[in-house]
Amino acid sequence: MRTRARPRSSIPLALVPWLAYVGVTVVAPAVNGAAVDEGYAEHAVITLGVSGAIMMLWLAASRMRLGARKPAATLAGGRRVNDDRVDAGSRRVTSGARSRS
Amino acid sequence: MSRGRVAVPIGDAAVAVVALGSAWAIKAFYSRADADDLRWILAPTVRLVGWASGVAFELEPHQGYLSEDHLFLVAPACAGVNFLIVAFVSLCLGLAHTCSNAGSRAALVLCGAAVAWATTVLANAARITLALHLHAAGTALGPLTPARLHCALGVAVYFLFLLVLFSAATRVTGGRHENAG
Repeated sequence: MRTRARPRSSIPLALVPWLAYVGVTVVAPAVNGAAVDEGYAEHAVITLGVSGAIMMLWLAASRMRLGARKPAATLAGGRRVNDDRVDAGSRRVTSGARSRS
Repeated sequence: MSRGRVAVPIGDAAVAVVALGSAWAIKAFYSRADADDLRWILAPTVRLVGWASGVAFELEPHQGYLSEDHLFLVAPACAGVNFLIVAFVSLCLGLAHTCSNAGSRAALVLCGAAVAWATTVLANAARITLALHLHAAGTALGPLTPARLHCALGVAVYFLFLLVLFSAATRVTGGRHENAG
C-alpha cells in the first residue's frame, strides 16, 4: 500500500480505537434506547472504567518508551557518543557569542 | 483553509463513509441474527476455544454452542460482532490518512475487514477461554460479582487486543503518530 505523510489532526491517533470502542459499546446502545434498561449503567461504568484505565496505561507506556528512546546517543554502558563534541562545540560558540555582546 | 479548522480530504471522507455505512449495516444484521446466521464468526471462535481449553461444544440450532459439561453457552450475544465493528472502524478511520490513491483506500477497507475478522476470532476465543475458567471457579471480589467480573474481563481482553491491533497496523502502514504507541 502506498503511503504519504499528511498534516495531523489535533486528536491523538491512539484515541481513535478508544473513541470507536466507547461509541459502539456505550453511546450507540444509549442512542437506541438501552439507557433505560436495567444494567446499562453498570455496563457503561465498567466499560468506561476498564477501557479508560487501559488507555491511560497504554499512553503512559508509549510516552515512557518514547522517552527511553530519546537519549539515542548513549551507548550500552551509559557512555555518550559523538554528541559530547557537538555539545561542547555549541557551548563554546554560545559562550563566545555572549562574550562578544 | 481557515484557521482552527481541519480539512478532511475527500478520499478520507469516502473511507469514513464506507466504514461507518458498513458498521451500521453489520449492526442492523446483528440485531436480528440468530446463532445460525453468525456461524461465520461463532464456529471458528468455538473451534479455537475448544483447542485452547479442551472443552467440547455442541451446536444447538438457533441458540449457539453449548458445553454440557460446563453448562456454558456461547450465544449470539457472545459472537464479538460489536468488537468486529470497532476494529474495522478503528482501522479505516485511523489509517485513512496514510492512503494516497483510490486503490490503497480500497485495499485498506478490504484488508481492514479481513484483519478485523481474524482479530475478533482471536480476541473472542481468548475472552471465552478466560471466562470459562472464571465461570468454573465462580470467582467474586467484593462488589465484583461473577457477572461484573465477566463483563470487566471482556472489556479488558477486547480493548487490549484492539490497542495491539491498532498499534501494529499503524507501524505496518507507516502512519505513526507521536501518541500511537
